Amino acid sequence: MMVLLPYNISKAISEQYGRRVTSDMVSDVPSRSLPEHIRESLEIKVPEQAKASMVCLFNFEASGIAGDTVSSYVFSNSEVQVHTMVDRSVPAWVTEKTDVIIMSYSGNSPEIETIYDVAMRKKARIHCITSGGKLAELCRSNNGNLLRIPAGLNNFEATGYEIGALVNLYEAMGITGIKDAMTSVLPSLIEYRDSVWDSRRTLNISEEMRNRVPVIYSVGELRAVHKRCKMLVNQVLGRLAFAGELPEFDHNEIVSWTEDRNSDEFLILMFRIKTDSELLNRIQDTVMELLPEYDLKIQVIDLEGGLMERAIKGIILADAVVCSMKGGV
Amino acid sequence: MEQTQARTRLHNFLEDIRYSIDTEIDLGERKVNGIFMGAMGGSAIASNIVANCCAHYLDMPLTTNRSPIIPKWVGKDTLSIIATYSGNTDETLEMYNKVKATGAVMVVITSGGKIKGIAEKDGIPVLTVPTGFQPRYSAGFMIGYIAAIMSSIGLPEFKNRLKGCLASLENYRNYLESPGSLAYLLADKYKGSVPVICTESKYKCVSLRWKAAFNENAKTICFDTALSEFRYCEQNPWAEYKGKNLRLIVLTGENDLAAGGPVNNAVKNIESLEFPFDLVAVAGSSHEERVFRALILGDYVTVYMAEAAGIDPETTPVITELKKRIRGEK
Repeated sequence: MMVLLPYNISKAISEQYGRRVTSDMVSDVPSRSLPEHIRESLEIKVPEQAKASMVCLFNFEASGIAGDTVSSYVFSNSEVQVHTMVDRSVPAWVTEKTDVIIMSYSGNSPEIETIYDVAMRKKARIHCITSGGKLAELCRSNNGNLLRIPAGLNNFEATGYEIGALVNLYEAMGITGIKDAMTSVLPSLIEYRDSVWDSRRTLNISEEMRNRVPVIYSVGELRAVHKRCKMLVNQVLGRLAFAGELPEFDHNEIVSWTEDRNSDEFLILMFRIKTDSELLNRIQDTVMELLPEYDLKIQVIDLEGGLMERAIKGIILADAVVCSMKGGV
Repeated sequence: MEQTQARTRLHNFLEDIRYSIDTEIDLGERKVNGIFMGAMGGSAIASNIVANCCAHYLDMPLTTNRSPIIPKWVGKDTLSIIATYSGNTDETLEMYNKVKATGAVMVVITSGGKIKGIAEKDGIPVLTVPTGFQPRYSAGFMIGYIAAIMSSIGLPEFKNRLKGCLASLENYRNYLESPGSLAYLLADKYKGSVPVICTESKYKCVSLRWKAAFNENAKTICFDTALSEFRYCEQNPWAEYKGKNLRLIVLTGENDLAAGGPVNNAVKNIESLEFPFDLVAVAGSSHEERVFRALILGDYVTVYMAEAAGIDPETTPVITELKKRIRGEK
């Protein structure tokens, strides 16, 4: 039996879950100090942990941006498996040999208690990255590994601290080299930030985005970038945005982009990088060459640097664009 | 447009599963601690479907990789299933070479092409899918084969659970083929709109399949989103949206609508924001049954949309053109 319920009805608000975004959150703007926040956070010592082999990383709210940024390095450089979760489902394979990392800036995401409880019952090693809330309480009272980040920030300002904390945690879990890799790119990130903030390039992208629904695409390695960009548009600008990934894009989505007359409503924002795969690079280039032939509105943004560096540059650019749209914060 | 060939492929989806699910595969005695599936597009969705169905009982991760770049953890203790319907998908061929270099336990699923010859030469088992249709219509064969592969390494639960609901799924498919069914109703409703499918992660494979089916069958732009992300940051933008085309569809299992549960609460919150949306709640006696009902529904909706608009759901010329250019062919 299938139920289809068309909804357009006003009813009582349920605030308990799926809360309405408050006006305070809508005014969230990112900070231009993201590289400095990473540096500050990297300086915090994390005690050595048992060597990890399997990590189940739960990301809530905007914490997924930090999770995806750092995990892209692990994906290519470590034999440790990192599997990312975004809601209450705890996979059956989580056992006492699994490291469960729960990352939520507020520490009050509604799923946290359920996940913590299941992870405890499975005797997983639990690590928490948060500024406080229920998550910090649970972690403290159950002797989990708690990495506190500063309270009083908005979710986007917290990203730098979350990146630093997760890098430190991974290093402590035996993923060697990640901290040095992160540290070494900080000067380049600062230089990039200074070059794009309030720049003509940023203003141009802002102008293009102003009256259209942005749809952000990138290769999977830059998942953090399209997630950041989308969430910023949603939360800071209060507008809809969507995201997708290459090369999957050229296996199905491109069909509708080139044939559906509703495409006028959207702006395609493509983040492009040079990866280790010549094929993937060629796919990115060819897609960007082909789409304009169909009169689609498209903006291509090239990001340079190595793993993590190019993702964080994308985050910085997205922050700068949204701040400029919000009024030059 | 009259009934298309695509309709025949949809009808045969469950028979395709039956065809492949009991295949005997000998992968030797090697123990594995993870399953890696490398595929793209229509060949990859089978892996997402199996992973979503098994997540609550499979004791090892099943990862779907949709990129020529593979994770470093793939190694000799990994079961790697490489699937490409045509056998010529460039990204998948690159994945094949990289996985082979790790010494992983490998199996290939294909209808032929370059990969069949290469794998046979390398002594890697090849499971064959019939030729003659679009890759996305091969999902039944691929799902059956993945179930059979898992069973062959001592993980028979998915195979048994899926076989247990096939008869019920056939009844549901027959209902969707009857005039006036829900699939016809939705096909009419979504004509001219841009659907946005919102699900919990346990139905992620359904939102991916619906999106691809809207894109390719109905040539309709479609997006997907996670319920957790929707709750966190998309509710107010939806309430502020002034356009007419975007249409939110919350897709879930009927069993997840209990009062006080996260889906129910999210739905109530959406109601309070007063923008139009649809709740599609799928019934079924198991998670597998609900997932497969939802998958079948989406396929029929989009093929009916295409037929009503006089579009052939099977043709995708821009993909052919793009692939030619990527290969440097004129």
